[in-house]
Amino acid sequence: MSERYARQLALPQVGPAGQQRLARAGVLVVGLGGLGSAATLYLAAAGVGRLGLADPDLVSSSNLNRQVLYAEAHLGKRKVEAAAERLLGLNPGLAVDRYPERLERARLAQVLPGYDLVVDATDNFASRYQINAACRETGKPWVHGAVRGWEGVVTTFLPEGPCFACLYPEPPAEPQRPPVIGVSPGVVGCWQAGEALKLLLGGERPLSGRLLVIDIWQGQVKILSYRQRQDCAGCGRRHGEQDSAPGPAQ
Amino acid sequence: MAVVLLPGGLRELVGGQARLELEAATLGEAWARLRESQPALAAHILDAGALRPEVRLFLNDEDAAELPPEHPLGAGDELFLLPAIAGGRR
Repeated sequence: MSERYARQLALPQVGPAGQQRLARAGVLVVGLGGLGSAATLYLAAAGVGRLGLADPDLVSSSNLNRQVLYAEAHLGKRKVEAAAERLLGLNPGLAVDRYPERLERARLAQVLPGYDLVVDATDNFASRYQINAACRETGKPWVHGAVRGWEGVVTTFLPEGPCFACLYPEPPAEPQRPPVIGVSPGVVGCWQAGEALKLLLGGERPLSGRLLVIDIWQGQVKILSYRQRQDCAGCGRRHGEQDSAPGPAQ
Repeated sequence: MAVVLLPGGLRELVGGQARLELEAATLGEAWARLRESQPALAAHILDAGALRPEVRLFLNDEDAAELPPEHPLGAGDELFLLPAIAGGRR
């Protein structure tokens, strides 16, 4: 096994068998902003074999306070290309799939069979309801993260557990670009990468039904429990009826 | 005395406070006290006397979304209000 992974091979949760599992694994990361920057860097560094990179945007200077994948030299380039360049420079053994587009539900369901799970690094509820529906349809777990200011949340949705619409049955009216300090998506994106690695390695305690709430400014971390809603439009009609997403994703 | 904990997005509505104390024996009374003492916050999170669906409520860190207004509150009970957070990519 490569010297590259020597420090994590010594972990009982990884070892040679776990490292092989990571090498055979694929993770689709939807969104290559602040969350996606942190998540992809640590997934690539850990030796995840394949990363799907999805984002329709170009790199702009206002990204650089938090989107640590990118440098001044990337300004104006497609994020998927700049990210792929950075991640392949970090780990040339990585396989990268580029999706320079906004992945809608049907397209997500089309590409998801090629991956083990999804990391949600988007910035809006419409995209998240679509990820929720596509993951329910294909039986894939996904790791949700979101940030605002000095705060963030992380949770994991498993095919058999509560879904995103159980947690958020209604989309909020959110500012299009909430203020954020770069460390917030850094911390949350890293935690999402940790959840993804844990799922790939068969860890026993994913954050399913539990919402991690991080407040860096106040120095507080809480873990809040939530349940599956029987009347949930996202998962409550799983038996014999097609899933649907509430709100604007419908 | 119940305690209401607020994340950053709601603190600006109550002068920067992260924690409020309310004399309330039930959830419904807590919302009534909030309307009296913190009208800006109440207007933001309540609709017709009940929590807006996009605001999640946790009681002592447990899901309280479906608790009725008559649910009793005890001394030291912690209510955590969490509006949905969207940011992450741009």
